[in-house]
Amino acid sequence: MRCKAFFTILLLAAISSLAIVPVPAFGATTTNQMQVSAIILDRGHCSFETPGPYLINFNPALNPFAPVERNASVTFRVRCRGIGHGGSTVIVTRSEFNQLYLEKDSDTIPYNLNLPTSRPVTNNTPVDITVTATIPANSYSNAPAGSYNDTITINIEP
Amino acid sequence: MKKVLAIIAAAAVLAMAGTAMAATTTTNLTVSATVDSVCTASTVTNIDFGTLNPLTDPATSNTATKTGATRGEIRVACTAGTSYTFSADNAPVMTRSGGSETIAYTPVLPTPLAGSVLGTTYNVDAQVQKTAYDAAPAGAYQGTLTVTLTY
Repeated sequence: MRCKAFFTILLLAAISSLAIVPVPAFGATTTNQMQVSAIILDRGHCSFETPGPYLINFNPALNPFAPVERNASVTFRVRCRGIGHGGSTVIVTRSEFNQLYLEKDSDTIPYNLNLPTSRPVTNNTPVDITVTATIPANSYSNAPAGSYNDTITINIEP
Repeated sequence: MKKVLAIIAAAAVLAMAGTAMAATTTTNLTVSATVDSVCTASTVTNIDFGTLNPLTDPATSNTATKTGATRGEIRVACTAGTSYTFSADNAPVMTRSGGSETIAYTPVLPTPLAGSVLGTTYNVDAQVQKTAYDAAPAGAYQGTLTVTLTY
């Protein structure tokens, strides 16, 4: 983001410079070449301290006769290296964008996943990111007994 | 000049986008939950043989068919798909009120269906042999039958 802002400033400066190029009133034109440059700062590279897979486990087991909203979470640690002095931002996304389901054979329990979209980071300093899964109360009252699971992909950038 | 600027700007943006895409790291996250096998049972109606008459009753009286008898009912609710079985006391008896005489009877348990959270009501019957009460003193007899649900 910082480098984008930096580049935008340079660009605006360049456009502003164009505005002061003199244009004679009688149709003659004068052109001038100017250099435009930008520096793309190294955004660094972030990695998971533990490669995973990570696990969110709803414990204790779900009781269909006493359905309540259930939450469970996992925290994973991310470390970013090669970041400039001003710090940067790690972007967190998941690859699946549709409704998520825990599955057992053909039976499913819908759930939601809440993960932070971004976190500020500084060079070589670990940052903890917590992902929370939520099963709505009304989503498992008719679910057959058994073990349900799902696997999703979490992405971090850069 | 504006065109040149636009091209340079576009090139710069593309370069940034390329850097970002190349720097993605992924991991897998597994989410799991277990749905418990749970059952509940409750008595809806108690079993009642009604009046037993050793002089006129058939050899065996069953609450399912006996005139004046009341069939027992229990309601069972289980996590969907949970399998379960019924069992009952081995040799239940009814004891005369105010006395100690007993009449043995035999529970007749239902065949369980697949578990349903919404619940299923079952008839629980009992049958009694006339020989169990043909010498019993007149009076009211009562006992408690425990039906066990195993799942």
